[in-house]
Amino acid sequence: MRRYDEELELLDSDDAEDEPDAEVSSETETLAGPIHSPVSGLYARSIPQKISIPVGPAPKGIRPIRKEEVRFDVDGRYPQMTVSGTISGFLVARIHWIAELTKIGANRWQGAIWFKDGAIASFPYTDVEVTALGSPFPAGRRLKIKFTGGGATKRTVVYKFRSKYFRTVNLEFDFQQGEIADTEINACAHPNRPASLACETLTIPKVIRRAGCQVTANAGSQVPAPPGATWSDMEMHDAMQIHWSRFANTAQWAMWVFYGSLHEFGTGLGGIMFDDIGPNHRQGTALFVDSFIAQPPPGDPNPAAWIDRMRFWTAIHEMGHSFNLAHSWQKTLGTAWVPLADEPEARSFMNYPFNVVGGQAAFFANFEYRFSDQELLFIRHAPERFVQMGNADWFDHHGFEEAAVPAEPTLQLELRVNRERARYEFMEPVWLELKLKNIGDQPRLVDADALDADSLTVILKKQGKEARQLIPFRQKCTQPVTKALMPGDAIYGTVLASAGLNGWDVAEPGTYTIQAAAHVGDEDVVSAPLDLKIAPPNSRDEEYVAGDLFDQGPARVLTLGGSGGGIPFLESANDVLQEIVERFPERRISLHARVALGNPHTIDYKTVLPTDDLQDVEVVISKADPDEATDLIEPVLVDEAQTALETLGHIRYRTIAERTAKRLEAAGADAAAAKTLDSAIEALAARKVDGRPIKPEVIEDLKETRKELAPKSKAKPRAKAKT
Amino acid sequence: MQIHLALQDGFDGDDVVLRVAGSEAYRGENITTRTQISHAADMQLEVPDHPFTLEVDVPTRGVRESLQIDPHEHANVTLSLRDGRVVAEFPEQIGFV
Repeated sequence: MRRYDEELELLDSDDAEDEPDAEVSSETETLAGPIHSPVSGLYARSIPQKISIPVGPAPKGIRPIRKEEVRFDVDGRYPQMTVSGTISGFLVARIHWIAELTKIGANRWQGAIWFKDGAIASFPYTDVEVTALGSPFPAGRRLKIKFTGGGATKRTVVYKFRSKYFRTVNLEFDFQQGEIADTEINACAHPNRPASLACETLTIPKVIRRAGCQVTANAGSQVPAPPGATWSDMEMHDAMQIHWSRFANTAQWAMWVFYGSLHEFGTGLGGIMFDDIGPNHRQGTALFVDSFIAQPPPGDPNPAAWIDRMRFWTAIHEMGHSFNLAHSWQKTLGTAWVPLADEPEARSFMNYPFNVVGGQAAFFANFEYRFSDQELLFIRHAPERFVQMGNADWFDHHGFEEAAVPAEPTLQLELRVNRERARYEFMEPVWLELKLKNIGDQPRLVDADALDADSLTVILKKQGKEARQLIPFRQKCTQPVTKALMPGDAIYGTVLASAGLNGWDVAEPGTYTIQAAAHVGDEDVVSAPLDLKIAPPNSRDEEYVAGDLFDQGPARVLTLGGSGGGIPFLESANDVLQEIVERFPERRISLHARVALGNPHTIDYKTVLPTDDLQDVEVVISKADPDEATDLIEPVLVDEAQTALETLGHIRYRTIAERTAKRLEAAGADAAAAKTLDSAIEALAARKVDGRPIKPEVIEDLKETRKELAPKSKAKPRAKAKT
Repeated sequence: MQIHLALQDGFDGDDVVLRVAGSEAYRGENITTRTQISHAADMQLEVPDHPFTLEVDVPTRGVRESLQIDPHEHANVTLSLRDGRVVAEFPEQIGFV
């Protein structure tokens, strides 16, 4: 039997049903008692191992499973007789499926999978059979799902119960000065209501919980505003950014609900999901307590209760829009996630009470303070990116939706470019600098190589195009070295974002957004998105040369710090870089090219080449040529030190300077070595970005290195380098 | 007398002309629905005190339709574009959320 390899291959057979592994078997025996209802909720299977293999657009098609979640929805309030699942590869590879269920036994259901999304080629199954393994204790509940059909080998997975809710959402109710955020009503306060309606205090969180979402709430705060103030959408968006304690330019399961007096639209606007501004939509909603929703119809038997109910209804209606629900009569408009039916007579939060036949009185006579079934199906089971607030068009199909980010992170990842404005010349390689800092009060253990390119996940997105994952050239295979990161301490790294095995993803003129995640144990530390621009070419000549530059060879040579040649395609890459140095000396790419071309001359460079008869290989050594190295590199590190600091990045500049100096000294070029380090010390000491100087210890370290060079290494003036 | 008329769903940069009993009563350019409030435009229209013909012309869609409206029965009129047609409804109240 071929055992299911949950780490690497989704499609490998899993014969757990026929020959279960010990763990599954023992759980099944222990828990196969009578079913304890309700069994609906969120179930999950977590795979905690560190995964260092890149996925998504990676060429090998390996999709490590990181996490599986299942939403089982067959009992409790408003059951949808549905099970849905999300199988997360690492960050980008993702499968979402939904099946409709029919009960076939006391604790068994079966049904067909009718919706698939994501990397569906890896998920051919067409049917599921679900067995609920009961327990009087929620933590003991299990769900066993057998996937069949589609020509694939049967796959059986046992999931552990996580929550009776399908999602978790955070709510914050803020209010205009002079208003209150009233989030509850007495369901029976108004006499026009369904006879069957339970008389209870209904709260907004209770309604959202009944829709299937666990609710956490922040304390609301007052938004200052002069009396009589009205609100524009932009003003509310500004207020949201200032007053919402959870505001972030990112998708998150959180929304801001604002209670204002009136919109600038006038009394005709009762509320609005105003947040179709910026990249992250649907984070903010508002209701206007003094609008038409506070104008009961003449003769209403309880005007005060009518107003309370309309405000309550409006608040949740707007929150429904934040969940990406359309109006009841709009379901067939636009692009629906699945074919939907209009529900013009629905007694749903998403319908207008005064639009139904019989008007608002007829609506509220049958309104049970709920969403419709197809709306509940969407909230509970649609792919997360469709529903989650802020998860609009940015990072569609991609991004860090599955990042395991703790609620209170103690690590922070900063992505930066060490220049005043993130603008790059055409052809200028984009080197990113990363800083992983312990912002907690306890030491943290991290892999020393956590910021190496192949340890990170870096997502690159050009405006208007789909996001891509950076697949770095170098994949190391080493035993991780753990480092204790004390509170306040940080480790640093650099990554070439421009190019990788995917090609040159950050090269064409335009605007890009880049985001990175470092992985520390089971935790993903995700950076804020970084926006940068690449300028258009200066000339047709540049465009022409760029065609040669934006190729694998030059990318490898730039990334790996040069090539001594000998290998044909790397020799041609060197030719391209040499041409750039000669034809575009004023452009920043020429500084990168000089470093890549000069670096191999700093050492005795070994190249493994086939023998002439192609029967063997031989090692060819090119002797270090410190003069040639100096000619190439000194203009970068000395003559153009400040520009080099910016375009190479602080970390790389220092690394290159130190390495070059040591190698030059070893090759006997003492004066050039000293000059390189003296220049680096001077340049770093003078360097400031946004008014911030380089950390003094960096300069002190370089000074120590300078002292270690032989005393004879005294800098001497040198003629301007040849170009 | 007046009726409250709202252009609701389905408008996307459209020109809209409304004629009441043959006379132009409203002309709007680049009318676009904000889908989250189902609102593209709304107005109070001066209309006859008896049933009248409301002509709805959306030249950007090649759509022109005539509706018979009794203002005493239908003080609120909403117009939406759906499947290349004008759909009129007569809600109890016009408000947007």
